[in-house]
Amino acid sequence: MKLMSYSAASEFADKKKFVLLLGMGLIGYSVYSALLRAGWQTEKDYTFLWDNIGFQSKQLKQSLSDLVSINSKDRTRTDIHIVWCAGKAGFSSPNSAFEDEGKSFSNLVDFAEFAKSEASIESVYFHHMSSAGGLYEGQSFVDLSSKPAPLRPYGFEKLRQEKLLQSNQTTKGTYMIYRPSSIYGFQNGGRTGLVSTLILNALKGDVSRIFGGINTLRDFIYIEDIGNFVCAKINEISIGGSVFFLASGKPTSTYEVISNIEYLTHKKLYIQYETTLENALNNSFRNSSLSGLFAITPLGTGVKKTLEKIRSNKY
Amino acid sequence: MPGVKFMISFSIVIPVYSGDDYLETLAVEIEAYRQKLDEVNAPFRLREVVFVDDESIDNSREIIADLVKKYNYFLRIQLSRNYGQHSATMAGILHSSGDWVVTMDEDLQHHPKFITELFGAVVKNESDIVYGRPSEGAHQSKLRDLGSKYTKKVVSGLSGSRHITNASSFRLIRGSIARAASSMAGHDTYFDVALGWFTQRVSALQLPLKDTRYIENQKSGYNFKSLASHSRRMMFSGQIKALRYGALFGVILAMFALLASAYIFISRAFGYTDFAIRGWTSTMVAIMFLGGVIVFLLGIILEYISTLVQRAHGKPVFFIVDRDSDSQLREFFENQS
Repeated sequence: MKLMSYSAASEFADKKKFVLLLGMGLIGYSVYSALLRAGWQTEKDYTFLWDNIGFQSKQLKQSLSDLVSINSKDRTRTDIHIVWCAGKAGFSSPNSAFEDEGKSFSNLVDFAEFAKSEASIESVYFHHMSSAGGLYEGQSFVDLSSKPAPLRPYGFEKLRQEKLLQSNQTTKGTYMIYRPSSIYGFQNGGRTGLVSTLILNALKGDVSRIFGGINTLRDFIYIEDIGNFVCAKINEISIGGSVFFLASGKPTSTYEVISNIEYLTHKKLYIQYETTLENALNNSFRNSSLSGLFAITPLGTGVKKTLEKIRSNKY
Repeated sequence: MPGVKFMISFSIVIPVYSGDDYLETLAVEIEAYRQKLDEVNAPFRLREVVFVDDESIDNSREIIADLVKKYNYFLRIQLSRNYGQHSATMAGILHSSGDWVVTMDEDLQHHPKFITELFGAVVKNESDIVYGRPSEGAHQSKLRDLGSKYTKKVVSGLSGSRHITNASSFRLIRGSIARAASSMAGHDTYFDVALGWFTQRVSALQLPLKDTRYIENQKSGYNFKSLASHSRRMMFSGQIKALRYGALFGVILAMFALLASAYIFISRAFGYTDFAIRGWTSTMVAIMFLGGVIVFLLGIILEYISTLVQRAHGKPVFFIVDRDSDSQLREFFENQS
């Protein structure tokens, strides 16, 4: 968990703003990097323990106290953006694995209400990283009229979190919900998705196990695009209450990903398919569902960037 | 997946280069056809239409932009430069999600109403790809139609891609195969040859297709240069059988040279024949034998190059396909008849 601040360089620019960023996985780190590139500064780092709500509350209150203290130097009222990119369990995890995440998220929504009562805080904005893949699993041609219909605990938990934000008195007018499709990119030590795993295995000559079919369609989105979009929303925000599909609108088969990686790495991929009815369902999004301001990196470019990052990390 | 019933979706992909006279009418016809499928409760439904603007030279871009606003299942892809019809088709296919993909021209030469018949041919012939072929000369120009027909026959013979004789830009392709071929094909790969790497279940259906634009204005998207380039790509994407014929010719020549050498040598050694010119025997033996060996080795080298070229073009080792949902199509057409 990180507390970040942005001080306007010009007297005509916005007042001081704060971000409380939770989760430093692939998405969280991309948001963090995008904020740093945009001129934000890291003020404090806090430990976050999933299984200790008491400790979480203590840390959250500490962050608020630090925020007030830092802001008091400028003697201005401020906004705080709470950015939730955390997630304890994975896409295939069982129901029980989401208990801690659910409690932590509810605790954070309560904290938003508490922060709103602080005199120096003018507005509290809540940015929530949900999941298009979890909410619309198995659905093709998803657009704004499509109804979320999760198929597994991961999707149900994301939907519950969205509904909580939309109904809570503090957050319901100020939330920004992001629904990314299948993200890819590389972070050392973090969870690796399909693309990174395939690149790593291509470079090492290892066999890859794919939980899906050769023709399974997914919508892949490069991680930096997510970070840049969230950062832009934090910087420009005036009103909330919006839901954004962060997808490419281009369905991509596993086969296309494989050929792309083989072409870019000049290596042969050894694949073992673990295809079941559940994991081979297609998932695609119509262009009309996408936010017009969302800049999309083409798959070939994104895979190349991921490859370079993996290579520079000496895998 | 076995035992699971769901609506079969299909996408239409239309590369656009100069279609401003036709696009609005085409959109109306597509919408009418889409509604008709809903009315008859067909198991296959049109879910998206992908227009690929191949750096069009008229007002097509603006018209497509308007159509996309009007029909929410229309999608526009804008290519950064003119890449040609096959590349544009492949770009569109790679943006499609349908279980099946229909590719068609922009100029109503391929009317959407024929798509049902293409699905019927899928069932009848158990195909993965069905080409819509004109039952008579599509251009109503003997030279143009015969030229097209025989060029394909020659290229088919030389390249080893038998289905090329039926190839046309009006295709119904199983979505997985269409996307796989599109993602593997290089910039110079002929799309229909690439499709042949993924399936042998290719059939053609005779339809009353007319190239109205060519018939009325003698205008076509293709000139002689582009047709020649088409034929070149068609041949070099394939297996290039001509190389094998060259290698075979080398073997025959080398064997003939061996026999002839033996005859000349024996004739000279035992004095059956007296050659007037000294050294003729050894010169002929050397030329014939070495010529045969060189042609044979050249054939082997070309065969290797052919294999590498095909690998560069993206020919796969294997591919997996799921045809289980075809039973729904079969049921529908059996009930219709």
